[in-house]
This record gives sequence, structure tokens and C-alpha cells, in this order.
Amino acid sequence: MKNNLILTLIAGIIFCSCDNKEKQIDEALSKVVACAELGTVEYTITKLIITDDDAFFKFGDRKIIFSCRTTMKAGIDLKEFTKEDVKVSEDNKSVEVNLPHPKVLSFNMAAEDIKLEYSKVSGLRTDFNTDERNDLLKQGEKAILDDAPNLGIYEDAKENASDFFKALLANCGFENVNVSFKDDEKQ
Amino acid sequence: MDTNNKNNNPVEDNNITSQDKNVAQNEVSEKNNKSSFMENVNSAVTKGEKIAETAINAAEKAGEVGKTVLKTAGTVAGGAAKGVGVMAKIIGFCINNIQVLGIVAAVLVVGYFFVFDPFDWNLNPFSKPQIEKTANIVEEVKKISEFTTACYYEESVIKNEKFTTEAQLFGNEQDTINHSVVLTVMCKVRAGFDLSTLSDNDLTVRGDTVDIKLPAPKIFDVISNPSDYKIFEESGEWQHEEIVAMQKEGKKKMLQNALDQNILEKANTIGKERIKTLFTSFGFNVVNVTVTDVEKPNI
Repeated sequence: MKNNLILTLIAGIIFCSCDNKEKQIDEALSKVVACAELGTVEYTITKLIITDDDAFFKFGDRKIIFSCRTTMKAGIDLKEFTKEDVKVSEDNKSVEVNLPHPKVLSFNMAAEDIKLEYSKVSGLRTDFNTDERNDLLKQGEKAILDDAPNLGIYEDAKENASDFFKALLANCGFENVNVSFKDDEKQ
Repeated sequence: MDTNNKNNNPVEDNNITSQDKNVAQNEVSEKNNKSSFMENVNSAVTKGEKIAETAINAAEKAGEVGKTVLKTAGTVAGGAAKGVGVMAKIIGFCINNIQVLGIVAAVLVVGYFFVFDPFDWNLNPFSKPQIEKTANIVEEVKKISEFTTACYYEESVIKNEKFTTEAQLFGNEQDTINHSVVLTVMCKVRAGFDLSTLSDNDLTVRGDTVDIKLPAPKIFDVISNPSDYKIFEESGEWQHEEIVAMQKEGKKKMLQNALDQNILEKANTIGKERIKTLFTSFGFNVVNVTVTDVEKPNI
């Protein structure tokens, strides 16, 4: 009887602790975070991801081609924008805004926009598994992100951010609006 | 008489006296010269002795340095001789084991080519397949004014299982094969205000007061890129389309979770504060922000 009681108690403790742990994990796995980003430009970029897994010591072909369609948004992270970056004239007619350098705010390579265009695997070779296919797509993702500065997205983001603040502040009654970027000062 | 003579020839007396004086002076000066000469001689002797002492000391030191130099030279020469001896031994060993060394060198060179693949010959049998360099084509450039104020992050597990049947090699019976796949995914949902929909009526300025009416917040992106996925387990065969279907379903669930955690309401609250801060920095003392009620999207 005593033994049964002890066992029930232990089981109860274990059950309760598991429940708590699961709750803790649930909380840790998801959260909403405050942010302040002004996206000013969106690029739609397409790319072919091609692999020919061939070598003199491998018998047979193993080729695959994906086509993907991605979206890249760039703009200003307003968390880096402070009161010190705004200078308003005494007569409240002129304002100078010094914005942070634009950055890529989001990159979306959605699974539904990745199409398998071609795949050829010879009899002596194993087919591309999910891990290998995902690894190739990761390489494609990295190649697009690495190429972002060469695509001209930052220049467009700057231009659009400048237009946005000029229009907004003109609506607020400022006659002269001057928008500059922090990185321009360094150059 | 003599006295008179003396008294009568004072000039003569004077001459004698001066002569005597001169003689006496000469004698004195001679004595002085002699004594100063002796002094000079003595000091010269002392200096000479000192110089001699210094010279002896220097010679002794030079001797010691010379000894040390000789010792060092001896040590160096000995070391060099030893080194030459070791080199000779190594060369001898190499000559005797030239075949073994040749094999080791060949293995190292081939290993280097296989592991580091300096000419991209795809030699490493364990390396993952690499993609070719292809162009990134910008299809569309769109001007946007998205003010993102809330981001939802979720890490979750997507799993699927299926069964297929396969005819046995011998006999008419069918084998049931279990295929399963488990993915972990990190998803990001971005929500905020589309400021491009703001009209002139939504922004009113009265002195140092500004009234802004924000549009309803909306979901901008549900992002889970290939780098956000990890294939935890995979057995059997899974086609690309099957995995895509799983990922789509997973994204739907994560969007629903984000909405359940009130991402849009939080975007509204945070957005209100952010807009106030922004307009205060432009010099407005009173910022009135009106938000539109959240409309939950249909998933």
C-alpha cells in the first residue's frame, strides 16, 4: 500500500513537471517582437538553380534544375533613427532628416515558388533526397542575397525613402525638406 | 773712506743691487721652473700609470671577449656540424626509403586535391553537390511604403508519413514500405501598416498638433526560406512536390498561430507608439494617432 502511494506520487510529480516543460517550450518556440522598419522597395528576382553532380570517378549522370521566384524588400530600420537625426529650423519651415543606410528587411523564397524543372539520375546513382535538394536551394538563396548590393536595391531604397519622407514632411507643413543618409557623410 | 765711496757712488750701488736682484730672481724662477717641471713629470707619470692600468684592463677584457667569441664560434661550428650530420642522416634515410617517401608525398598531394579541390574538378567524393553560377534576374521593381511594427517568430516541426506497396521479388505478395520525413523550420511573420494607402485626409496639422489616421494593419510576409529548414529525418522517397505541399501547410499553420497570438493587434499598439515617437522627433508636441480595427484575414 505504501509502495503504491509512493509510486503514484512520483508519477504525479513527473507528469506535472513534463506538462510545465512543454508549456515552457511552447513559449520559447514562438514570440511576437516589436520592430520598426520602413520598407521602400520590393524586388522580384528569379533564378535558375542548376547542379551537375558529375566527376570522373562517379558513374552516370545526376543533374537537377530548379527555377525560383523570390521577393526581396529593402528599406530603413527606424530603430537606428533617433531624435538627434532630425533638425528642425527655428521658424519650423525647414527640416533636415538624416536616415540610416538602407538594408534588406526581408527575403522570401517561398516553397510554392520553387519549381523542379528538370531532374535526371542515372541507374547507378542515387536520387537527390530532400536534404540534398534543400542544400542546393540554400546555396541559391545565399547567391541571391550575396548579389543584393549589385542589383541596385539599396539605391532604389534610398531614393524611395527620400521621396517618402519629403512627401510626408511636406504634408506636415515643412517648406524645405532635406533628406540625407548616414553613409553619405562617411564617403 | 769706503763709506764715502759708497755714499759718493749711489748709482754704482744701485747697479749691484739690481744685478743681485736679477740673479736672485733667476735663481728663484729656476727653482720654480724645476719644481713645476717635477710636478708635471710626476702628474705625467701618474697619468701614464693610469693609462697603462686602463690599457691592461682593456687588454684583459678583450682577452675575455675573445675567449667568449671563440667559445661561441666553437659552439656554432659544433651546432652546424651536428646539423650537417642530422641532414646527412635524413638524406641518407630518404635515399634508403625513397619509395615509401614517394608514396607518402603522392598520398598527400592527392589528398590535398581531393579535400581542397583547388581547380574545382569535383574530386571530393564526400563533398556536397555545388550549384553553378547563374544570373539573378530582376523581374519587377515595386515602390512600397510598408511600415512593419510587429514580427512573429516560430520554430516548429513538420512531419509526414506515407505507405507504399511494392511487389515482392519472389512470390505474388506485396510489401508495405513506410516513408517518413521530419523537418524543423524557423518561420517569420511580418505585420504592419501599408502607408501607401494614406491619403491627404488621413494627416491633419494644426500648429504643433498632428492627427494621423492609420490604415488597418496587415500581414506583409510569411517567410520560411530554404535556410530556415533542417531535414531532421528522412526515410524512403519523397518528391519535391510532396515536400512543398508540407511546407505550404506548415506555413499556413504558423500564420494561424501568429494571428492567434494577436500579431495584428500588437502591430496596431506598437505602430501607434512608433508613429508618435517619429512625429515627436519632427517637432510636434501633440501627436494623435487613430488606428483602424483589425480585420483578420481568411487563411
